[in-house]
Formats: sequence, C-alpha cells, structure tokens
Amino acid sequence: MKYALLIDVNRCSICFACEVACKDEFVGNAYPPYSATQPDVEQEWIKLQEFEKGKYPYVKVYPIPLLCMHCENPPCIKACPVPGAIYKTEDSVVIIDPKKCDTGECSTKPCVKGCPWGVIFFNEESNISQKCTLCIHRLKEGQEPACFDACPSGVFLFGEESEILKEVKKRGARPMNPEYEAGPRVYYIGLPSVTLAGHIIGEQSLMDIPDAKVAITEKKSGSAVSCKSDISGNFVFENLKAGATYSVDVQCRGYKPKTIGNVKLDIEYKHLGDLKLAKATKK
Amino acid sequence: MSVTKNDYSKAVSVLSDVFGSFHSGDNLMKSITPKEIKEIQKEKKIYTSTFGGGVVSTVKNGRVIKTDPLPIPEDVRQYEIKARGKVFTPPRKCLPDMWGHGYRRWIYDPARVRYPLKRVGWEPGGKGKYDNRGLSEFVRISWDEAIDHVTGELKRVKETYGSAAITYMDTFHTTWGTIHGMGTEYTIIPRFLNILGGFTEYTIGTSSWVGWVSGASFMYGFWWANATSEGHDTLADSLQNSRMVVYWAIDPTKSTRMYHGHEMEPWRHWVREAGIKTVMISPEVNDTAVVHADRWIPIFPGYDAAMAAAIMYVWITEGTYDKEYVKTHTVGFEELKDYIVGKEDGIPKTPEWAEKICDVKADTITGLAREWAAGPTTLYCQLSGACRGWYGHEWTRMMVALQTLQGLGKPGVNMVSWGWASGGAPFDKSIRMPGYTTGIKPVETKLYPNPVPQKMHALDVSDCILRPPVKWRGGSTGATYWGEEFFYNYEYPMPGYSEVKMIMRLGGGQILSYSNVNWRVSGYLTPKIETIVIDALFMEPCTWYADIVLPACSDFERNDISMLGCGGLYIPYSGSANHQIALYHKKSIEPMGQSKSDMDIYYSFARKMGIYEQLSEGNTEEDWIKKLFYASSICKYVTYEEFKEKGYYVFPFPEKYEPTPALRWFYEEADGLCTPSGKIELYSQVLADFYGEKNPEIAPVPKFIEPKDGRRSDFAKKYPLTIFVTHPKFRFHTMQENVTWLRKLHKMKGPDGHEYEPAWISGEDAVARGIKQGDIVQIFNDKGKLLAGAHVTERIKPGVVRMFYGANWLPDDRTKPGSLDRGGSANVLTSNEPVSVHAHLHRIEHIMVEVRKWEGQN
Ligand code: SF4
Ligand code: SF4
Ligand code: SF4
Repeated sequence: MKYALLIDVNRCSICFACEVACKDEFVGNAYPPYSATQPDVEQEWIKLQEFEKGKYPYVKVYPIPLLCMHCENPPCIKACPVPGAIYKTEDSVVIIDPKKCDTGECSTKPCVKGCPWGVIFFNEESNISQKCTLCIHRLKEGQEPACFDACPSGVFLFGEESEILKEVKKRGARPMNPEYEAGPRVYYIGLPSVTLAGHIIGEQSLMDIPDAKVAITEKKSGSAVSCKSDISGNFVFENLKAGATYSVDVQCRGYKPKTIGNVKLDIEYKHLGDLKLAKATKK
Repeated sequence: MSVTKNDYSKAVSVLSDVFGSFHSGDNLMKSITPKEIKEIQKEKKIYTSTFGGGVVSTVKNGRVIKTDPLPIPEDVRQYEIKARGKVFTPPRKCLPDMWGHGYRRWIYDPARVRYPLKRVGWEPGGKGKYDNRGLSEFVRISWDEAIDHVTGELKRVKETYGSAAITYMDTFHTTWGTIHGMGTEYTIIPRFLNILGGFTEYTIGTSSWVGWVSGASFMYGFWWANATSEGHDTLADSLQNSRMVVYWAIDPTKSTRMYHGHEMEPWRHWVREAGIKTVMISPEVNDTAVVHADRWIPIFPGYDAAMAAAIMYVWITEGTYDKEYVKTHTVGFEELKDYIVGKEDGIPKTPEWAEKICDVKADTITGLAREWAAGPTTLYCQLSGACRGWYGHEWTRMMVALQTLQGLGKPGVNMVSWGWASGGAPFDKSIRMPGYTTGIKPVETKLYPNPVPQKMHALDVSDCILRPPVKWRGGSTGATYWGEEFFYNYEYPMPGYSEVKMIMRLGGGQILSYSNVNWRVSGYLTPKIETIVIDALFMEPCTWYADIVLPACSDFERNDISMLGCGGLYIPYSGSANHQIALYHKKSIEPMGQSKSDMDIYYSFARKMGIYEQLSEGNTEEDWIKKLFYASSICKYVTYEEFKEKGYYVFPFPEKYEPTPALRWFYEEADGLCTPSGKIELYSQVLADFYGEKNPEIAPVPKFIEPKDGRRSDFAKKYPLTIFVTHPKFRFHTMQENVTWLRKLHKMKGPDGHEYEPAWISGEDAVARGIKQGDIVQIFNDKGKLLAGAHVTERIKPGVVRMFYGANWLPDDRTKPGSLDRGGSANVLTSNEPVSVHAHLHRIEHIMVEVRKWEGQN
C-alpha cells in the first residue's frame, strides 16, 4: 500500500496542535528501527508556516503545514553517501535509518542540503539526521499519524494513494514545487499564488451581491477567466500572472455592468475593495 | 530558572537520578516489591483531561510518555444535526489543543517546585525582612517544617490580629479538578479557613466577563451565568436557520479552549459548510477571521458601541427592526430610540457619526446593518473581547439591544459564545456531573460560612495593603453576580476588623493576568504583610513573592472526578464538549519530587491544627470521589468499580432528543426573564433609580461613552497607540509559558539570544517609527515599560498594537516596581482603574502606549 496526503490550507485554524503533537510523540521517545528521539526544541518535523499577503485592510493568511513529502524520487536519497541510510519502505514512506545514518561521515550534512524543502534536521548531539517518519510506527498499529490525529479542523486527508489522488483531482490540489521533480506525495489545496479578489456590493443598498459574474482578461494575451461572486459578494481569482495587467468585468442581473480596466497585479494578493454596482434603469 | 535548550533532557535525567524514574521523593524510603515494579513497567493507558482538553496518557515505567486525543468508543451514540441537506456529527475523539498535547512537557519542566521552600530573610512572627520579597533566594525545608511554619503563622496571626488578618487569594485558573485544582481553590481552602474562624475575602468579581455581568445582565438577566444567555441548542439553530454569523470582538478559535481544547472548532467549520455567510468585526485579523470569516471589518478597540448604535440607527430609520417583538418583549424602546435618533442629545447616531469614532466606513456600517436585518443572524460575541475595556458594559448592552431589535429567540436570531461557558451543541440536560468550581460542595454534610464580613478587592489590593482605608462600590463576592451587588458599598478595613497580615494562595498566575503589574507587586514589598504562603507547581512571579512555597502536584499526579469541560456550578448545566464524558481522572504517575495534591496539603495543615475531622468529614480523596460519583448522574449508568477501572464513561446521546433552542421560550412567552419586568429592558429602571438619567459613565439606555484616556483624548498625544491585550494563545494565562515546545512557536529570538514576547504592530506604524520585523522594541506608558519583539503585520489595524498577557515578567529589579520588563508581560502597561463608576472591575484589554525601537537605552 502506498500512502498519499492532501492538505487543505483553507481549513487550517493555525492552532499548532499538529506541531505540538509531533513533539509529544517523538521527544524522549524512540521508535526503532524507524526513529531516534527528537530533541526538545531544535527540530520541527512538521512546521506550520503562516504566510501573509496583501495590504491592510485586505489581508490573506496562508497557514501551511510543511512536513516531509515522502517523495517518489527523493532528492535526499540521492544526496546521501551512505548506502541504505535513507530508504523507501514498501509503503513508500521515506525513512532515515538512525543506526545506519550514525556514521560520523556527514559533517557537511548532504541530505539536509539535498532536501529542497528543508525538512531534514541534523542532530548535532547524536550526529544523525532526522525527519518526519509519517509516524510509520503508528501506521503499523493501524493508527493515524500523530499530527493528523491532533488536527481539529480536518486539514489532513490521509490514505491510500489512489483514493487520495481521486480527491486531489476532484478538488484541484497540487504538489508544492513540482519543478523539483521529486514526486512529492503531499498535495495542497490553497497554496499562495498571485491572486486578484474583490467584494461586490450594490451602490444604493451597500449590501453584498452574490452570483455576479466576474470575468477578467489579461491585456497582453487576451486570455480570460471568469467566476461568480459568493454569498458574501466576494470573488477570487488565483494562479494569475505576477505583474500582468487585467481588465475586470462585472455583470449581474438588475445592475449595470461595470468594467475596471488596467488592474496591474503589483502585489501577490491584490484586492479591489468594494466594487459598487449601480441598479439598472428600468426599461 | 531559565530554560535553555538542553534543560529538558537534563531535567529528565535529574528527575530520574534524584527520584528514581517512577516514584516520588517520599516513596524513595519505601521498598518496592518485584510485583509492584512489574506493574510499573507495564505500558498503561490513562483516560483523563488537561486544561487543554480530554486526553489518553500513555504511561510506562512510571512516566507519562505521551498524550493522545481521548477516543470516543465506536458504539457510543453521538449527536447529529441535520441542516440544509447536510448532516453534521462530531469526530469520534476529543480535540485537545496545543496545551493538552504539551502537558507532558509542562509537568516535567525543570521549573517545577519539587520540595517545600522557605524564603531567605523570612522569619516567623513577622520579624523577617520584607523589602527583598521577589528577589531573595529560597532554601529547601522539610514538609514538617513547612507545615509548622504555616500552621504556626495562621495561629499567631489569628490570635494577634483576629481572623480578618488572613486572606486567601485564589488564582486566575489552575489545573482541572473537582477535589483538587479548581476544586480545592473554590471549596477546600475556604472551608479550611472558615473552620479556623474565617478570613477576609479577596474579591475578584470577574476579569473575563466584566462588561457582561455589569451590563447585559441589567437588560436580560442571566445573572447566574455571568450574563451569558442560555446556549443550549444554538448550534443547530444557527446551522438550520441563520443567514449570517457576525463575530464581534471575539476570537474563539484562539481563546475558547480552556478545559476542553478545540471541541467547538468543527462547529465553526460547519457554519461555512452550511453556506452561512460570516463577518468578523475586530481590530485584528485574528485566527477565527483567517479561517472562518468571509470579511474583516477593522475597528478601533473600545469604540465598538458607536458602531452598534449606528447599526440600530439604520434599522430604526429604515424600519427594518422587529416592531412587533419590540412592542411585546421589551420595555424602554422609545428611550433607546430617542438616544439613537438624537432626540435626546441632538446627535443622531448615524453611520457617518460612528465612522469618526470607531473608524469603520459609514458605507460598511450601513451595508452590514442591512445584511443583518435581511434574515436571521447569529451574533457570536459573548464573554470575550470588548467587554474588558473602557465602559465594557455599554458594548454588551448594545449587543443585547441589537439582537433584541431583530427578535432575540426567534429561529436563527441568537447570541452565542459556543464554548466552555454555554455549550451550544445538542446536550442531554438530564445529566448532572461535577465540573468547574463545583468542588466538594454537593457532598459536604456540614457547611461553614465565613463569619468575617470584611473584603479586599483585587482591583485595589495594593492600595488596601499600603494606603488604607479604601472604599469602593460593587465588585461582588465571587464568581457570580447578582444585580444588587453592584450597589453595595465596601470599605477596607472595616471598623473592628484587622488589616490583612497573612496571605494564602493556590497557584500562580494572578500577578501577571491582572492589570498594572508594577503597582500590584508593590503591595507585597511591605512588612505589613508578614507571611505569604503559596501552593504552586512552578517558580513564577506569584511564587517569587511568597515566603513559604509548597510543592503542588499536577492533574496527572492525583485522582479526581469530573465531566470534561463542564461548567459545573459556575455556569449551571453547561456542557461544552461534543460528548458528555464522565472522567475518573486516575492518576497517571506519582507526584513529582515531594509534591502533594492540593487537598493533601490542606489536610496536613488541618491535622496539625486539630480540625482534620471537620475539614475532611473523615473523607479521603477516594471517599470524596466515591461520594461525588453517587451524587452524580454517572452512578445510574455504570458501577463505581467499572468507572474506576475504565477511567471514563461517555454518556450515549439520547435516542429521542427534543431540542430546546436558547430563549425560544422567551420568544414564545414574551415574559419570564430575570429582570424586574420579566422582559428585555432596553431602558433599565434599576440603573435609572441608582445613577439617575445623567450619569456620564452609565445611563439607563446603552450608549457610546467616549473613553477618558482613549485614542481621542489628550492622553493620546503622548501615547498615540492603543494596545490591545488579549487572552494568550500559547499559554493558559501564565501556565505553560515555560513549555519550550510552545515558546518555540511564538517567541522572537533577539540578537542577544533572549526570547522576546512578540507584539503585533501594523506596517504603517512600524514604518513611521523605523521599526522592522524582528526588531526589539520598547512599549511604554505611565504605568510601565517592557521589551518585545516587533511582529510587523498587515493583520492589525494601524494605530493598534497587540500583545497577549501572561508572558513571564523579567524586570531589571523585582523589588523596584516600574523597572524595565524584558519578559514582555503586557499587564505592566494596563491600568487598575475600574471599568467605570458602575463596574468596579478590571479594565484589562486596552490602554494607550507608545512604541519605539529599542537600542539599549532606557
Ligand atoms: S521531502 Fe525532503 S526529506 Fe522528504 S523525501 Fe523528499 S527530499 Fe527526502
Ligand atoms: S507524520 Fe508523524 S512524524 Fe511526521 S510530522 Fe506528523 S507526527 Fe511528526
Ligand atoms: S492541527 Fe490542523 S488546524 Fe491546527 S495548525 Fe495543524 S493543520 Fe492547522
């Protein structure tokens, strides 16, 4: 069985239960042959990073849990000079063998540098590299990984790869940094991207307008995308081109259409503020 | 003791060297049989709870090796809420938070007090040295010596000055427990002192519910629940019927965790999954806003009442309030209307008027008002936030008024806090179990009232000690208020009663969780207080200022009984978890070092003083548990032996369940609230009779009142930024401040290696002051000064600085109040002035400050 993991950043409530649960599972507790004990504070096998984009008062926060991606083609294995010190189990969990790693040969920490996501930590005291084991000792007991088990917000979807991939497809998740060609087994929903957002309200009513059709067109290429405003009158376009200029067209039954030309995406999270639609004059 | 990177592993080895790996210091003397050793070596699962939620602890070799979420057995029936074509059920486990997951690290922290200690310089009989409290070293003494000192002093002080010379300061919150922890604090200690002859009560009133008890209660009652209206079945009501949820000055995702963890986090996700729109009104994009709000409306903290008034202006002028309901369910609408439309004072409370005050755009206010009136709206505002600031009672009264104008109690129109206090989920109300502050009350046979009428108020404590006499009005006697208590007059000392000479305390946390730390500490640096005794887990500020320190053990080191997260007597019949779970709280490990349970400590004093029989009524810990078991619903479901063996029991959700959404009865009956008229009193005759119509700090109808020393006052010329001091995320008040796993998550390491407490400052304010991310800054005003790490963010309104209170206080000199605090304890900046003439309560949440980049000069 191969595992995969889907992380929904939009659901994360920044509670850090996952990080602390990983500490509690591993600090002072070794699970041979998979892991030696995690030191008290230095290492964060799962790390929640809060990225903040936008300008007051339109701010977007992306809380992103980062842990080992348990890659299909792990760059860390390629970087490691000791045969078998880092290996993939039959469940495709990437493990650093605490015994084999302890050779004293790696003062340059090649695996730490080799992992493009920086999720390997070198333990200066015991001279070994350490990282997330996907809680393989718990998986063998039929338990979920400790950090997933701790999450109150349903951020993690974990299971058999083919099942997870179905969800990945359905919900448009994507791996972090596909350009590394490492084949990460962790897929994310809601990673930061160049975004254009706005809030549509009635000019007279000042109330939210849901279901307005918003279309944006990139000036240069002419490529266009559209969406509908949500129950609160918000619209969001993600994965746009940084620095590009768009024109924004808003249409809604009962209102006069509105066009905003020349919206330049000068920051990563660009919010147009309140866009007021005037009532259409009755024919 | 400071905690450095390898202290933990060191501490673990020190603990195992000194105490052996599995028994306490006292037990060292006993021999252990091979059978007992085998038993200890076995891996065991103990089902219990922390102040951060329900957990199962894994114990091996006499040590807790980890904690996991408490599981709910597969065959236990759970609640189900059907709403808008969806079915919502909670996960089959408890949801402990970072505090719960970090508990092991906390109880094994090297800063644990492991033996009884005596302060160097303290002498029995009031003969010692007192101006070095806080600074002097402690020496280890035996339990016998400690008990001799404490009981000797109690006796001497009582005989010399009378019982009023003894006071007992309860903590902010302590470990969970019915017999120990909160239970000892609320029942065993007062009982012990009352048997001795009584004590001067140290009145806290409330510090988290300030504006609610002093404001909202006068409108709709609920005195017994600190003005939180009933919460039952509001979750289903909102999911099924509300069109919008307004979060106002509240961050439940971060703050509503105590004693249950993240039990309610799924509820807020369900709100979104049900397609209900949400909005957050707050000075910051708080955690709740990040994940649960469609929109953020930034507002200046403390000015929220102006926005509320303007919302009502829109409704009244556009006729979009529930006119019929207002006629039948309220009194005083005309007076409120006169204020809102400006008939009373010539100022219509228009959105434009409010914009100038609270800095929310008039259009935004008007738009929100119309959205609100467009359909049933849940107002998520109770307990937290703006109620602890300037005239906090006006904001809470405004909140009640808003929902009243929309028909409070109608399907989907409710006020909630969804948490520990009021619950919200479907809940079997027939189940009675002990919880928060219940203590041993239900099973005591003889009660001992306090014969001493004298009180001392936490808000005036240092004035009472240093500069008596002190007079005040209101301020209540305990956790729960009754209306008339606001009008009682008090003085300290009372004629014929002694000033306080001796302080007993349980647990730390008070000095830093209350306002004006520097002033508060000054009260302990005097020979007028001859002896301070504390029963504590850690060396922390309350411990530093004590003379005799007694090592207490944690929840994992003693047995107890409770229901998970239950409000107990404080909030009657509340259940704040997704499952009703009776816990035996079997101890996981033996007490650390020479520590003892809270009850044991007081039992040893009682033995020495010859009042053991009266205090205990012959009950051991186990006897109390058994009696509480038979006094609770749990005894109808399982035998005592089964309960004790298994460690917990999850009450199955009733097969047939009739929801009784909060206040629906009032909506239907239009009468029966605990107010003089039985209706919602938009105009309060009680307040009018006492204060008249023209009191500038409280009127019969809710009003916006300009803060005297707020951002629009002269005070702001010197200190232009509002500091917004909120409940901490990474510690429970002060508890767990020392947990390295949590410090790593938020402290900011300075160039000097010191871990600074972060302060949020807006990009705009930072640029204006030449401050960059990670800079060390000094935050100061007339009350004090501290150092913090600047976290420059767009998540906070320009003009506002945010800190969590409760960080360790590290002044240059602990005997010189006012010296620079490197720990970043935000309450060195707050004022101990009361909320208003009406509410003699803590005003902790806001005050004006200035911030500057710290370059090493004072
Ligand atoms: S994420 Fe890094 S450590 Fe994990 S498998 Fe991939 S390369 Fe190795
Ligand atoms: S899966 Fe296990 S090892 Fe990996 S981060 Fe989570 S808790 Fe830590
Ligand atoms: S436990 Fe879940 S909600 Fe909490 S920080 Fe981690 S991923 Fe986010």
